[in-house]
Amino acid sequence: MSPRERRLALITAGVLGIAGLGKYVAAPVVQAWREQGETLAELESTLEGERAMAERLRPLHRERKVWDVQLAPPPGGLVQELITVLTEETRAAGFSPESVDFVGSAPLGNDPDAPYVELRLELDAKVTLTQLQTYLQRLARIERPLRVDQLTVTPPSKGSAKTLEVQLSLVALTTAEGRRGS
Amino acid sequence: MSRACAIDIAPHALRLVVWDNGDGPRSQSVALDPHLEAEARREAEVAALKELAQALGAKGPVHAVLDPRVVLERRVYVPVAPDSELPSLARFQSQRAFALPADELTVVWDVGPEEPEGLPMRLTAVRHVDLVPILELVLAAGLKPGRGVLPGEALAHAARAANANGPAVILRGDAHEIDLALIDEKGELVASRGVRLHSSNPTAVIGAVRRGLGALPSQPESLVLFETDPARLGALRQLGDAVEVPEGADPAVLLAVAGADPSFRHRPELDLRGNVVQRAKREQKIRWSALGVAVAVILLLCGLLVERQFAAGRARIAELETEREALAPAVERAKSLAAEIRTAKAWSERRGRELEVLLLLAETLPEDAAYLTRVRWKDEGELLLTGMAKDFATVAAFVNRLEQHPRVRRVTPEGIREPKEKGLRGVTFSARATLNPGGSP
Repeated sequence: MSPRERRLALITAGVLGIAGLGKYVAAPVVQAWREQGETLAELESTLEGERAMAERLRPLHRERKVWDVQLAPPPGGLVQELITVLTEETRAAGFSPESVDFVGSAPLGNDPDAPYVELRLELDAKVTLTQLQTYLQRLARIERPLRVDQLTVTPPSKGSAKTLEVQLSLVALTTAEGRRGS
Repeated sequence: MSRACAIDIAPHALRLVVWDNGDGPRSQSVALDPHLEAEARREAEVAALKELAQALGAKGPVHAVLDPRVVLERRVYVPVAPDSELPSLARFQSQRAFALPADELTVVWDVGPEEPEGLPMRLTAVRHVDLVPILELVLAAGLKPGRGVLPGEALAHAARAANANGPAVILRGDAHEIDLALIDEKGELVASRGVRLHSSNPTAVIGAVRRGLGALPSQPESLVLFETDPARLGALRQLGDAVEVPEGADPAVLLAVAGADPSFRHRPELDLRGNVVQRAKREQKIRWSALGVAVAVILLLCGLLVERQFAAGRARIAELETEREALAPAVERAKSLAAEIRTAKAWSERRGRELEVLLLLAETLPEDAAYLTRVRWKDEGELLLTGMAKDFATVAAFVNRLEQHPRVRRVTPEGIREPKEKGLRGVTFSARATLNPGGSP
């Protein structure tokens, strides 16, 4: 092999060696390095969020307890108390309901594992518009978690034109645990 | 066309001999200042050689007479061995004979006829650093390097050419040095010495020569003097009775003439270029090896560094994952509690929406021009409206105002018609409104 051929072979071998080194050693190392860096960054970011979440555990416990107290059924039973409250509020608004019925209860969102239960009641009454407004305003102010879910207002088929036939469907929220206990 | 050339680089002059085919030797010399600095000296030598080569038409390989002071010579006896084993014996003996490292020397050797003590081996060594300047000089002058001419061999050749009979001691000298060579009865070189002269005083010259003769392995009676200076010749004649002075030989160019002689046997052969090139190759190989080792070490260190960084990264990931596992129960519980609280808050925020609906209707229904006969609303559902209006335009205005209300996403009128009952005026209408989820903005 002449010196020229040897030099050419050496240069070729060098170029191939560098290319091989780059492809089979440097590139995988860089790739692994990048992946490790990304994994580390992602893990640190996730962990930072999780640390913050773990630190919030105690305040969340306290807040949840406040809700538990607010949603817990009274000793006499929640349904009984709701019927009493609804009736009292109608009187305070200046009318008497034709009927107040407890329809039933279901887990919130129909999820059997849900921590809350909704109790549904229906109220029918003949009221003036002013009485209806007063009643709804009073309902919105009471402490017990209770809200109107459906409202139907129709003029009566007979009687005064100022009187309205009102059908209210109301739901109250309580804890599933409390509901089982009551 | 010249066949061979030889140069002799003396401190005071550079001599070139060109031996043409059939015409014999032609020589010229250029005087050099011995006091020049190294670089200036080198430039002067190159210029002198170029000048001489041009003047004499030198084209063939240029042999160089080596300075006796740089030639180390040892004579040893080795066991009688086949020729194939002699090189290794020579290497071994040279390592013992010369105090310098083997890789700094160019060693050539020759063996004489077998003697009772064994084979006489003459080892001649020259340091690479002494050969390189000669080679560079020849190359710088644009000439082809030939071989190194050992002074003793050249002197023996000159004696043979002058038909001097051995055994004898051959002397050649000038005002600064005297070369001595001991030849055997066949005219072959046995040993050689160079003697430096510090004075031209005949007594000092005789003393120096006697010391040189004493260093030779034997002192034969015959003495061959290549000397033209009558005073020094007269002094040297005192060294012995059998003194022979060949005629017509110029001692100044004697060695160069012998080196340029086509019949000169370069044995042992000291290839100027070959030795230097071989050494350069060895050194280059060593440099490449060192470079390779350095690159390998650097790569290894880089690999170790990278692996260390990877290990640190892996350890950090493991540490974070352990912490994450330890936090997992608390995080799950916190997430669960947060979701429960969000649900309860969202449920609670839906209170009072029926009032918003009634207020919306009160704001959008045209006063004294329309009224509603039926309202049906369901949270997160639709608002169904039925009513009476004065005319179509009133209904359109009502629908338009409803649509523009921020709480309403879309209104779909379902029917507008005149009442069936006789006596009633205006139009009845029904519409379906879709409210924006989430209550008032």
